[in-house]
Amino acid sequence: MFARDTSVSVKASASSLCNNLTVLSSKEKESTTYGVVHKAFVCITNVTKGAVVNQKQVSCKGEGAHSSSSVLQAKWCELPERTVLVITSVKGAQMFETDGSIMIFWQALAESKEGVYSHFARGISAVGDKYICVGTSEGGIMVFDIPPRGTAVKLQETLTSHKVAICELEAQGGRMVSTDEEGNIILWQSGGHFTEIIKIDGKGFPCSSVCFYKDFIIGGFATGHIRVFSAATGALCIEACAHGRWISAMDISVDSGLLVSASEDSFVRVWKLSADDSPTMEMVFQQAIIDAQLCGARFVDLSGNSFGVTGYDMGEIIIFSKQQAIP
Amino acid sequence: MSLRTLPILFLNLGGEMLYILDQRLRAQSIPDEKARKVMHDIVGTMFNKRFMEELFKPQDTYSKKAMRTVFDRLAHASIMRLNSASMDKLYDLMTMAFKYQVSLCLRPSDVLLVTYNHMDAIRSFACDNPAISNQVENVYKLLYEAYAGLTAGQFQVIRQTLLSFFQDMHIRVSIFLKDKVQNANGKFVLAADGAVPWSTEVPGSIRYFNAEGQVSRTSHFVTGCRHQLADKPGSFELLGDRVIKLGSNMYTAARAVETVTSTPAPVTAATSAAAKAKKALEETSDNPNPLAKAELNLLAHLVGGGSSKKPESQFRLNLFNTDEEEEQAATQTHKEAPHRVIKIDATKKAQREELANLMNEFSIEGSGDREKGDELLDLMDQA
Repeated sequence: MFARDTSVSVKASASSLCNNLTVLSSKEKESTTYGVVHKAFVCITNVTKGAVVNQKQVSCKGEGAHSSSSVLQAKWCELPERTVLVITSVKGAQMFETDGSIMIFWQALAESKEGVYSHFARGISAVGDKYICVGTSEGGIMVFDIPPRGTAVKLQETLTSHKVAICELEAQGGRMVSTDEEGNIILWQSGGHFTEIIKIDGKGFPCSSVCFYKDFIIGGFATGHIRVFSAATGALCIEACAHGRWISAMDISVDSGLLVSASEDSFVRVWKLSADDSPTMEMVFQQAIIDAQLCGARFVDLSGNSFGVTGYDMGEIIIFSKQQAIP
Repeated sequence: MSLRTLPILFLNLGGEMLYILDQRLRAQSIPDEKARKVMHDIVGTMFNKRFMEELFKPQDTYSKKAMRTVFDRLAHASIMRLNSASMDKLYDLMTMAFKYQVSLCLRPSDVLLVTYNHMDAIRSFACDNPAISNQVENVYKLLYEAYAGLTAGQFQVIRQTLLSFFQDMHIRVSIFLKDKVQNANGKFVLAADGAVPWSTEVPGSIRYFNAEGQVSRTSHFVTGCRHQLADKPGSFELLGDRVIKLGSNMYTAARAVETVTSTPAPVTAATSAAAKAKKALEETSDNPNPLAKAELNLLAHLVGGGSSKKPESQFRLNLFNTDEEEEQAATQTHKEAPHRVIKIDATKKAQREELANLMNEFSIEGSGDREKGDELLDLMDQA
């Protein structure tokens, strides 16, 4: 179904983090931009018409941040009016203009409490028309109101339903789903204030990656399971024993119903989902990237024709594309 | 990222160092009494109660440079002396061994079991000295208190922090290459088959649930791997069964261990330029953590405090098979990376204050390349 395409080489190797690949595509310009976290900065690589045209690094800036402030995640948040590059680190969250050139906003984390094990921001998503949400290691989710232009970003509220570190956030229109280190999943409705709709209790293992598909929430877990829950009731519909290790990243192409999952077991697998009356799930493609602990996976285009995969210590993004149909 | 990574990093690297020294002391036929003294002195310094208490406080991980300095000092805490080529080799072996162990952990909490394997071995190195044994047992307690209750998610952040410390290190080690656990490019071989982590399932099935939450149907897919369930989890108790072998002594069988730096001679101009750029970048993002300085000073103080031995009882340990090889390696490293060579000079005999004594063992070559990265060593000069 898919086959290895030309890899995109990046200037610095990918760090071992979950969801360590973000992609921004522009169909008109035939350009794709990739963001990969390397220790204390994000490597941004732009590929236009098949050629690497621009590479740069964006690192943590701002008060209290220094050059060794480890980055935990980077993601482009696409809002109707503007696209913002959000970087979370051990110091807090930073928002940049799309190309990473200008910093728009900087939110430092509060001082860590005594005896904590770690202190960081992680979990990023654009929600609805004007919100960007960022999770923290204390379980909080900061909701930022983003103006159509300019730097007047406002911290609107902090959601405190989660009690342990946030792993990932994802949105579908005005709905947001958040996951934490104990596998709890909460579905939120945005609006004047965010309201909790459904809470799905975890089993103690992190839900490191999450996707929306129609009226379903799909979680990728540390135990190698992919679980599909109903977004209407929170009930578990499907449980796939998908990988032999930690699932580090997932992404969905809603148009094609394809879900890609990457794991530390070195396998990338693609799943076909359908949800006509009851949901079904089927593995349609798999490949091992030999000796690579995968840490990121992302579809490059909305139609699910190709996806990129990153791995710890790897200086390239491996691209898989749909094979041309033989005439 | 994790503020609890430093003790794990230090204890495991220290454990690997002791394995190698133990093996070299025997290979070089150092008299038993001297060899035992070296092991005891180093274990005693490593596990100094005050130093351990400082180490276990939540803090950022040291930079690579600071960590290397700590181990340079630790290796010289006794009557044994290593020249720079041997010290480089020792440190490369230690770090690659621990990187291998962290990389191969099935689940993040296995890094604690790896640490316990090292601790168990260190305890046996020091079993004939009650005072040092006590210090070691004290650290078992600290480890249990700090880590036994952590969740999978917290261990994952620790493991990610460790992997970030080892990122881009691809030194090839002969023992790994021979055992086919490392590839020629320096990457470790990850087995696709074998046991899955404890409390997980073998991949290959998809279960469907009905409205009552019961499994209504199960479908299967072929993974192409031969997986099996884990037998049992390892124990974090003082005398528990660790189950996993990672972190146990791999030098018990007598065989030589070589390191080969991963960038062999024929490098094209373009890639070497890229490598240089990468290195420069690496160093800027590797600023020493100011907190580490304080602890380095503490360690320096502790190491210095113990060094009141007579110079004539000192001996030199060689990590290579012959002295010629060592010299060759030394000249090679001088050529390849003059900026990172720290000459350890054991000939000075001044016996003044303890820190002054230590400083005599550390002088830096290639002062032209001395930049802000050397702050830690400057600190020693000012003391």
